[in-house]
Amino acid sequence: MIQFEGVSKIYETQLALKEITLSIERGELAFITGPSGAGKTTLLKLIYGHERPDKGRLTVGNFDLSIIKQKDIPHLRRQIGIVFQDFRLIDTKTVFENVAMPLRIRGLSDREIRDFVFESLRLVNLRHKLDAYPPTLSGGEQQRVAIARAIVAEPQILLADEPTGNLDPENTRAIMEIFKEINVKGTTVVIATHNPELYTHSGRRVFKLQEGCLIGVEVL
Amino acid sequence: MISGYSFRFAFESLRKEFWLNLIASLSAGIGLFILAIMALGFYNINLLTKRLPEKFTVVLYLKDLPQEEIDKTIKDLKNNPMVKSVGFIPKDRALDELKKRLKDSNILLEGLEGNLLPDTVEIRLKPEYMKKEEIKNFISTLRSMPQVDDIDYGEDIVASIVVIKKTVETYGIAFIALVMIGVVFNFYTTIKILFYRRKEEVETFKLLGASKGFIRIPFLIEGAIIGMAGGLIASGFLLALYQALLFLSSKLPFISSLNIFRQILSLLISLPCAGISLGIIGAFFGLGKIRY
Repeated sequence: MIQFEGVSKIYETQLALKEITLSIERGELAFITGPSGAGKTTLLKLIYGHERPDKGRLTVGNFDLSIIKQKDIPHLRRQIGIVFQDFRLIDTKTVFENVAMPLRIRGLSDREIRDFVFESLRLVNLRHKLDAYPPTLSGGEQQRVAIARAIVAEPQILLADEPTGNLDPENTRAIMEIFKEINVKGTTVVIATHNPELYTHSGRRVFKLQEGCLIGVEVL
Repeated sequence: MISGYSFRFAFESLRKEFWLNLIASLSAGIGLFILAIMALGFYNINLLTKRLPEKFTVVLYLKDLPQEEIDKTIKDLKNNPMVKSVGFIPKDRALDELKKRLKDSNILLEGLEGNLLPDTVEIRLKPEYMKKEEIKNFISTLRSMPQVDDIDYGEDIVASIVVIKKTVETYGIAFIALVMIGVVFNFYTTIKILFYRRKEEVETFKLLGASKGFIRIPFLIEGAIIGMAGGLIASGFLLALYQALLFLSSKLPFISSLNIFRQILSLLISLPCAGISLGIIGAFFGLGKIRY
């Protein structure tokens, strides 16, 4: 599903990723881990086409991101749900409208949008907050809204950048259950985290990054 | 591709940025009003210069001549290839007409003995000879005729209309183009500001897979709505001008001779359409290239 073949990414003079070669299978739930500045976010950004590889070949589904055209990027992104590290919620839109954004893009009817959004908010246990605005929510609630938005359109791939950074252990477990549930339905899930609690004893593959290099792959 | 959501997005932005949009609409309205006035002026001057050959008349005041000589003069004039028609007004008829006109102020004529008015010949020229130099030569020929006492042909009017026409042709189009660019620039900057104010939202939409069309259309709709509002404001100004001219035309008859009333009415409809088109053009350029 996701294939890195000797991919490097350089920001001006700084090497962010160095010759990464890895493969994540369709339907897999995998973790990318490493300390801050290891290149986890850059690796995710490459997957959803926010950054282009400077070297090597990267394929996501049927898309070759080394040569992808501008007009194809929206099609790629519609197959991916993203939980951003900074959430990227729109403060002037209600929770409902924030979660509905990917569905608006896909041109769904208002009735379909309502059904999907309600279901997604039910999954993250925020059904009662649909009329609230993000600034009135706690950090954990905002994170769950971001997750609801990422999964609402039932994407083929779900990317999560530090998805439990603002959550207490109980909410962290709840969120991980949601990811597992989505994964069971066939979605490929890639979680970038530096929190070992998430992947320890998960039985999933963990790709370890350090200073832009892939230093190991383990099943923990 | 144009969904109800695009309209909702556009209307939401119009509501949130009410003052900015109002100012943009007012500026566009003033610009479009200036354009309308320019177009009306341009149209009327062109019409005036086109109708000049129909209305242009050379009036010859003859000396006191016997009838045979008057007939001969008229015959000679009719034979001139430049002349389209010749009309003769005998001095007695001219006096009768004057009396009719001065019906209420007859006192002016009471002290006069006999008829002091001359016999008059009115000459109309063929349109192909309505050129400044040709007219000048023709007038010189007439002046050299011994039967002619004086000539009146509105030399100043001919000269000024020619000058106005040339000026309008040279600078008018350039000025209209300049005002049009100004109006488009107004939309360009407004949409650019609106776009940057919603940049975060737009960036998020892009990351979630929005196409360029999905991002652009609400702003194009917004440009069209601001343009239409500007057009309606300009139509309002024009309607006020129309009412003022209607009122003045009863007092100043020359206003009725201007062919603007029908044009104003058609512009009332055209201005909102022009506003919409210019708004969309301005918005399109204001959005620039959208990159992922």
